[in-house]
Amino acid sequence: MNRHKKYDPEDIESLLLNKRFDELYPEEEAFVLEHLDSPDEYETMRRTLLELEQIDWSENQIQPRRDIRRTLLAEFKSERRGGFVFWLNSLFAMPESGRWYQNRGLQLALGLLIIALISSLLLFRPTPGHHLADRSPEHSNAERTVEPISDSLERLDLSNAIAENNTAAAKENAEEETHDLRLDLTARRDQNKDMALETEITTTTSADDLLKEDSFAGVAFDDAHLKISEQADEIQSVALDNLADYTAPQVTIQNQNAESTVTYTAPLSTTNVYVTDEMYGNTTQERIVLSEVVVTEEGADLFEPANPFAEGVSLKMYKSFVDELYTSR
Amino acid sequence: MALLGKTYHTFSDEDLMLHVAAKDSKAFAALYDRYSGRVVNYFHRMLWQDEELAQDFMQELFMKIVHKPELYQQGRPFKTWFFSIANNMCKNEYRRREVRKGTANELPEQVMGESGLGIESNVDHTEFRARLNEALEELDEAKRSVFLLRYEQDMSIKEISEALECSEGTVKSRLFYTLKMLNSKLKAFEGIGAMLIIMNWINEWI
Repeated sequence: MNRHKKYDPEDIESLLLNKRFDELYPEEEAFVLEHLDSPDEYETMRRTLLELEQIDWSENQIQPRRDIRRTLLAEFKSERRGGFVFWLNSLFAMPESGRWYQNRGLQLALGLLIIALISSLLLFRPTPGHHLADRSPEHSNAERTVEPISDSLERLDLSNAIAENNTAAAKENAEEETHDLRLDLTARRDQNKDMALETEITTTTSADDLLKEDSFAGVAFDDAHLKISEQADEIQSVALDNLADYTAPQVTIQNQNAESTVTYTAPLSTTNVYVTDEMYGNTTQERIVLSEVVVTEEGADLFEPANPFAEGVSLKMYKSFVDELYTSR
Repeated sequence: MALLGKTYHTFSDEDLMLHVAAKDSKAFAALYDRYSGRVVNYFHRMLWQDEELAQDFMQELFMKIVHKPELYQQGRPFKTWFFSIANNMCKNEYRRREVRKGTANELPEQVMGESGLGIESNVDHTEFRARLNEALEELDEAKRSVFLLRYEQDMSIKEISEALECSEGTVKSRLFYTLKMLNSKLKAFEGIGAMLIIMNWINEWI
């Protein structure tokens, strides 16, 4: 039975190759005779098949032409390199069409130029924090050192500041105030030399916070006896109990009650404003009383240690702003 | 993996084809060396023993692999895939000639002229083979391809069925009827052939 299983009964080829007709099992004979006419035909087919098996097919075979191999390999390698072949010597060659804009070199150069222009525009495009960024060195200098009052006063340019005023009367008034102030400050400089306030304000904010500063509404001075100008372009009087916002790189504060005006170099805003004992000294008693409450509540520690406004000007909004951005030493 | 040229010969057909798809020219060369001879002879027999045509077809077949190696389906035996393409190329050629000449399976005149199944005096294996070739020419394309793949290319029934994209039963059936037809064609040769086989057997025994 095992021998019978070795052959596929449906595969006559196997039977033909392995068995003579007289060696077939009855069921194999029956199967074979379903497809072949007679045992003789089986035997002739078997001989043919055996003859086929003996054929050496490698004899008289044709060989592939050698040039085909070379051609195919060259084609394969060129295929591997990809379809884009770029010859340097053809870079600036004039195209056959004679059209200059088809010159590869020119196209390449124009492409690079466009890329460079776009890149430069993107790199140097102004941003919302641009002004802050530009002024940062100046800003940091102003933050680090608050000049002594004596030096600051020397930089007063009240004439220019007042010249920006809308009224001639104000201009005259400012000139008078300047003159008086100079006289007064000069006199006091000698007396209070040792008292000159040197306040160093250091920033505790990051660059991101500085951007916020720019968008911050500014500093409000809730005091009628301060006059603030922004970059000396405009002078505004702050009415009593009127909260107004100011942001400017340079702020001039004029204490009308004290008849004094001080221009502060505050690169970013009035956050760098510092107040002097000179102003304190010229503040009227009335205003001192008016301001005491506010200062006590919110701004008493702003200008320590000298704190010239202990009984002086209230900077209500100013304090909250400064609290947010700066730490007073 | 870095491959040395020597190792390509140990690679399976399928592995070589994967390297060909990865643009490895050495793998392609190894594959060509392995199959070019076989396929050019297949074409030679399938295409009226026209050697030029066989060479052209062989080149065209490998050119397909050069340009579109991705056509090979990974996991499929390369040999059956390769011969299925070769067989389809033959079919196309038959159709093309059928349209051109209006007759199917038309043989070159010189082949027919040389043919003739008369008994020759110097009968041997070579003569048998010559007769066989002539008989093969008279077979239709389907039977001839089955026969050549089976006996010349030594492919299994399963491989032939994959290459020709038909069932194994169909392959067996075609093979059987081809043998039967060849048997009848070679009947004139039978007596001498049988005698030759007997002589060979005797020689082996001695």
